[in-house]
Amino acid sequence: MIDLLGGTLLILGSAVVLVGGFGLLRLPDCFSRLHAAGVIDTLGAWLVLLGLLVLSTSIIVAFKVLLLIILFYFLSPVNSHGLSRTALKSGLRPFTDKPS
Amino acid sequence: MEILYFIVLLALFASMLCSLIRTGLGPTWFDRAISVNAFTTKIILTISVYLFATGHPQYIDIALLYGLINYVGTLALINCLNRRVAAKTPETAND
Amino acid sequence: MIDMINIGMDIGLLGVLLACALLILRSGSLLAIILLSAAYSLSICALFVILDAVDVAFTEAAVGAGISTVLMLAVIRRQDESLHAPRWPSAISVVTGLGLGLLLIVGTLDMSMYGNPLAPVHLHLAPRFIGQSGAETGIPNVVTSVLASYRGYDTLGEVVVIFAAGLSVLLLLPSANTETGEEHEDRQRRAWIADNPILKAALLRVIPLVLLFALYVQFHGDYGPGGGFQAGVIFGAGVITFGLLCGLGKLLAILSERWVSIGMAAGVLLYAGTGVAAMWRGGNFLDYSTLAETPTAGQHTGILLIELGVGITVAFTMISLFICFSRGRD
Repeated sequence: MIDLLGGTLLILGSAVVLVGGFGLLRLPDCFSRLHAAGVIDTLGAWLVLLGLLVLSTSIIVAFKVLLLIILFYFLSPVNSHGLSRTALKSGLRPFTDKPS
Repeated sequence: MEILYFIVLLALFASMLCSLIRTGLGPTWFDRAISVNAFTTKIILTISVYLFATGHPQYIDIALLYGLINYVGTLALINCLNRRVAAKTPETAND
Repeated sequence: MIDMINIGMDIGLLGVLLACALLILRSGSLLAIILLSAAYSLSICALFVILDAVDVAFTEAAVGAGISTVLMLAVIRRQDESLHAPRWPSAISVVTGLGLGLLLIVGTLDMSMYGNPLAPVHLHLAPRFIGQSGAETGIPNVVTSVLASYRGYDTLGEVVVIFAAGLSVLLLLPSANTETGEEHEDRQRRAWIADNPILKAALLRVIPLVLLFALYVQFHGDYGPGGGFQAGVIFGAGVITFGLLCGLGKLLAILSERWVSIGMAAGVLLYAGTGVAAMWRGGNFLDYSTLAETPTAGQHTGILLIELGVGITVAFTMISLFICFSRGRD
């Protein structure tokens, strides 16, 4: 049962990470690519690590994986935020279909 | 169970390759920065999944270390570009 | 299946490494090269994990993820970002590079084949280290006992090299700081990072965790992967984060350059002092067996002390490098 749950989470997570990778490659401009790199990847990492948390056999390993999940939860969005604010400030503009 | 780990690692590698290609292509520094960030995430996941797959999950300290200090590089990048923006006109800060 | 995972990881990571190297070669911007070399160091760390060299992977993770990117970015801040290298390398560099590579390849011919079970290292050194280091030093992690006790002289040399590197950067980039502290504060205020509440709120709370993790790596090095080098780099990364978030002025107000220099020297002194203390008690230099009642306890004490010395020197050298590179003109 636990194996099934962990396996499902792992497969789901890797599918999400794969989608994020393709998005990074195919999306048209840098701010839309931020969705693939920032949002989708955080979810994918979350799911994979949750799967590992379910599958971990000892308390100390589970604690470390939990710490990793918490770190991803806080630091990944903060990183993306900092980078995108800097990008806006340095003069990059989001791609829109309206003429600027 | 191992075949599952294999599939997961395969997906992570494919995604890693996509991020790497985007890092090389650019075209702006922002693309490179976010794709290196994504690459870091995938390396952390790969190391963790690999350690679980081979039965040495106690070494997950390495992934934890990456999770703890990979933001330092991003922070330095943000700092560096901000100083450049503060010093020059905005347009020259683009890669 | 495990074999298949291992082979797949090997092929995949070596492919990623090759791709990184090729992208670095044909990239024209220094910023891109720095980011790509960060990716390169990440994948080589994963490769070390596959090779079961967990301690080396730890070092690579600490240095590659934290410090090297920070230092390289600090360096390119001092000069133009675009790369003005010629399209084709000059004849001298080609000859030098090829010659050096050839010399290195000739050097490897003397080594025994990779994986050869009859190589001298597997006949004499490895059985002793793996079989008896636990009983002789009382430390489960063979890497730590080899590094700190059996090859203590080597490690002392490495620490002195790191100390000398920090010292030479201090000498080459003297504190010819033309701007006053107020001007610096003013420039920091203009740069937006100083008043971004989100970055500051989130990352300032991570710093204690990083410092705690550094102490864990330092003192858990006897039992698991880790040790003085890794812990020093992680500690330095924590302090550097503070410097990046709050500005160099605030960092120097807490930790003045004088104290950083003293810390750099103190670690080397602690290491060498442990060796001298062993001599004082009737042993050889760096023979820790005399430091306590039983040889095993003495070894344990000595290894703990010299790892601490390594950690202190590495941490303060990293901080000193950061201070040297990030002050001065823009």
